[in-house]
Amino acid sequence: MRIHFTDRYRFLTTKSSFILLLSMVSASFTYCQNSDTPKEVTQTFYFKNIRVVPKPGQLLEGHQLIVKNGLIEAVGKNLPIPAEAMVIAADSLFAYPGFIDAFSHTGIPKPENKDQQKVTDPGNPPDDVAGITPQKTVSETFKTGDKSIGDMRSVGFTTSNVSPRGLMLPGKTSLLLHLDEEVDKVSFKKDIGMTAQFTTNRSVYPSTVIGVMSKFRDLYKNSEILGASHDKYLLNPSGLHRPVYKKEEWALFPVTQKKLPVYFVASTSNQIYRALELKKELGFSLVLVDAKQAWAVIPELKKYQVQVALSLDLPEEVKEKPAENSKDSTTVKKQISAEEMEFEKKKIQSYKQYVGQAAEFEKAGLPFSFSALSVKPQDIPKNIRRMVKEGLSEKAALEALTTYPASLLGVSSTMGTIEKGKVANIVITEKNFFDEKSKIKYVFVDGRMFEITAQKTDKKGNEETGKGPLSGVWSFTVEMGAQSQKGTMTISGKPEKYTISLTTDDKPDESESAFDIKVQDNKNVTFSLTTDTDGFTITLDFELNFEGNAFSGEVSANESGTFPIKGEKKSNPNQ
Amino acid sequence: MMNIRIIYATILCFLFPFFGSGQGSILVKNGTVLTVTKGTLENTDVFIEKGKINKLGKNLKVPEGTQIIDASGMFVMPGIIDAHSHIAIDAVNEATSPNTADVYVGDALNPLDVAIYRALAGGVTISHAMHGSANAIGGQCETIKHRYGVINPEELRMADAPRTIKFALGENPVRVHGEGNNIAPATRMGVEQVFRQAFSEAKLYMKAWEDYKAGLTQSSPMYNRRLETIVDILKGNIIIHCHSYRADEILMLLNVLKDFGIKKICFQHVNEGFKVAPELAAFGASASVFSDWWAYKFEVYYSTAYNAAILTRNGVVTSINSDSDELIRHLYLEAAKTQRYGDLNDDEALALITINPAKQLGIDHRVGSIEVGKEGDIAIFDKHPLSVYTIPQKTIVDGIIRFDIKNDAPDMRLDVNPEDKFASDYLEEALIKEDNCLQGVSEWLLQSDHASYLRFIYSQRHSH
Repeated sequence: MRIHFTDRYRFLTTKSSFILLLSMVSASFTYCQNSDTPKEVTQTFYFKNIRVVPKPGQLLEGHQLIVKNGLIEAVGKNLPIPAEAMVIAADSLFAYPGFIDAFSHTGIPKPENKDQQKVTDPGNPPDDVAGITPQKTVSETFKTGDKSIGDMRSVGFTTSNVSPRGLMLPGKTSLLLHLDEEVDKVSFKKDIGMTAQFTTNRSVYPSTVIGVMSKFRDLYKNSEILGASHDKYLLNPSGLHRPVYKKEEWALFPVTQKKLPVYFVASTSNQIYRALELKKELGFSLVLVDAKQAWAVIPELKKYQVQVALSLDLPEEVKEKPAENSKDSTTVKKQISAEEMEFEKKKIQSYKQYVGQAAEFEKAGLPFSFSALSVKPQDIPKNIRRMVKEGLSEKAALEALTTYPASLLGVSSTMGTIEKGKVANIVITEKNFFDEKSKIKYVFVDGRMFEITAQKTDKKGNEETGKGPLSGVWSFTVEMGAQSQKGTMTISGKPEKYTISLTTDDKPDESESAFDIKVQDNKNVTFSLTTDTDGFTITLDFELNFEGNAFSGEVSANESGTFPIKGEKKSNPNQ
Repeated sequence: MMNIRIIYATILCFLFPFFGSGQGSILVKNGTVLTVTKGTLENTDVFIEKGKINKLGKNLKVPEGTQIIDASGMFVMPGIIDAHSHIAIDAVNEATSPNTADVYVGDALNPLDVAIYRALAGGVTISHAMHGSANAIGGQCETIKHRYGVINPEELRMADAPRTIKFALGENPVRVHGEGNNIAPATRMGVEQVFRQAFSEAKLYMKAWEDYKAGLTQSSPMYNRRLETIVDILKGNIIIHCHSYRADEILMLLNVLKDFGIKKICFQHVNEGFKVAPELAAFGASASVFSDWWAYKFEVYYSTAYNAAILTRNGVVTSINSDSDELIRHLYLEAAKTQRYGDLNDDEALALITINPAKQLGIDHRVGSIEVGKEGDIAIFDKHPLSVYTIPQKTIVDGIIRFDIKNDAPDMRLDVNPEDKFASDYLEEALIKEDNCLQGVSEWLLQSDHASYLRFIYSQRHSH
């Protein structure tokens, strides 16, 4: 199982075993998820009697599909089986073009929390401390075999337009293939876009959205000036000062020339309007990324012909509360205020707007792609199906996953459809991908086969008492540099439905409940929780690995960094 | 025509209703019209057509189908204007430098802020969304019209209102930069030097660009948004709104401005304004004050509730502001206090929250009084707005009813997160302990190595 594989190497601490593992992997062309030892080598695959969706809106029944040397060799009927081919009986399977993620940090791990460089004058910080590094690319921070790559692959994504992590201007994006190889080998197309976002280092200029808006204009105008000086100097340098090629301004020059679009991360309607404002003022070409409230901005997006990558992240489902049970009429009903009733109604409406965003775009005739920036990969298939349930057509959903991002990223001639001669990026599913019971069976990336095995959940938990092996009270310690935060974590319920709450020793009365809890084999647990500190909300993502009565792992706080956490069991439930 | 019922219905259907800034036509019939500048008109109709006041008079004939409000027995006044607030913006302080003239809170407008609706519920149709007071030269501010219901921030702006900028004297900039970061200004003297240095640098910057454009120099100077803004102040294109308390500092800034030939200045808070009222009047400076709010820190002890009256009697254009999303809801009562403390007459008291703040924002030719040709911003009260018994009934912006007490839905928020836990955003707001004027500063300090200092800030009850 793929997940086992990746998780195992997470535990390999010595560098040598890591390298050994890598070399074993790259020696093989066939990655088999079930085994740690790579299987027999072939570069040719023959799918017998498969249903092919060559492009959105088309379906070819009972076809043959041949993949050879990384490319799609043939799609057709009655094709002869090449002698060297691995033959896969595919009667019940569907083949889709590999999904393309228009923007994310796949393969770029969150930075380790390191002590921030001391800045004597916060109004005048070095550019890298301020988060202004437009000259950077993914090469510096890409991690071969990062867990996120396998995670994206297992839900059908074969490529992502990957941006370096960072703040206001983190760098340039590259289209990367989801292979577990070094960056130069997975890199398909470089310098696709310049990432921009409203995220800041809160302790130096620009520390707020108004600072970012201002600094962006400043950098842009100076980049234009530098470009003009450069041209002037090339023409006739005599009597002129040599232009100073400040790397940040020089990196932005293609943006000012409209040769490099800005991929602006803007989720809320307010952020989208702000990005649009900069575009209107300065004139660069804009792609909005990870849009969540863009339904509200559709007329403007149409007017300014802005391209959009909608977020694959959706809010938790809000269900209408069932009508009161008449049997309970004797019990005292809880008094609900008009305000609360209105709130529940609004939550449902709001939920529908978030989930119905893609359908609204389709209705308005605006093409779009998807961004996996803020979604947990394992939620993606479910979320796409929720969008379809809310009115998005399957064809438009597929376009957003394949042909549209291919054209957005300028790779239509090599990706986005299943056609002879294109790169063999293919998703093979059992049942139609939009069927709730559909499973992804194989993913081909660059012609290499990955077998996807569904994640199993451990069912050893005692259903009657609602206990699982992890149930109980645990202590935890988070190490944050010189400081540490201690507290208590309570896990209750069955493994499929664990509830987790945390309290810190400073404030034992204030308990925070976890959400997005994912448990794997009662060993690996991930969850998130939000905490309000002095009026601003921080989301903490936990990744814990349990071993007997102890666990270790890490907590990450957005871009602020990642901190180690460890703990042990204090008591079992009902003790 | 958009009335509040439609607004409400639309909100029920879509949380994000689509209706533009729009301009409506409406007849407000038979009210007692407090024009503020042209006296009180009994039993008078006000006809607003396409967002502008078209006619004033008795039994006006209006086009068929015009929406009519019967204001018999009610009081009709110009929409209230708040010359100092921080509502409807997502960022208040860019507290990282003593001079942040380049930043602009108009870049962070949040038309979804329910505080706009609460302000409307107090008859306030326009507010001056300001940068905070952390820096000697803060950011540029934005004059907004309370068109609650729009989603495009552009439609919240009062188009073509003059540019304004926040300056700050005294404890706040000294505390944030001097004590907080060990950089200038560490003293009140240092604050003066921030201004002088900025204006001097801006002059050199202006000269460098002029020379380049005239072909006197070959290489282009670099662009500097901060200095560009200061140049615009020097050119008289931006009105300064300066956070101030002490008389000596007020005189200091007047001297600086004289030295650099700058004329447009409104002092904010200006608690010791009563000591230098003749000097302010002679300079042509205006003053925007609290009615009776002081003693929240050391430099704000020497204060009086007669401040607004003394300034007014000395010929200073004076307004009363809120600097608070709660106080903004009852500015009419704040103005009424000047009748108890200073015996201002009705028109003088009402001018403090209408035509005078309009003058301070440079928009008095468009709003601030009920006159033909002005914009259709009206507040309707059941009793005289200076009575403690008065209750705002309807608030009209550009001829569109944006608040109606008869159609006040239980939840008027435009943007509800489906994952929200609280039915009431008061509960959420209870978590926010910061005061408006220094909003963002503590968060910023939290990130620097100033935890103890942060505690000090929190120990301050108020940080204006």
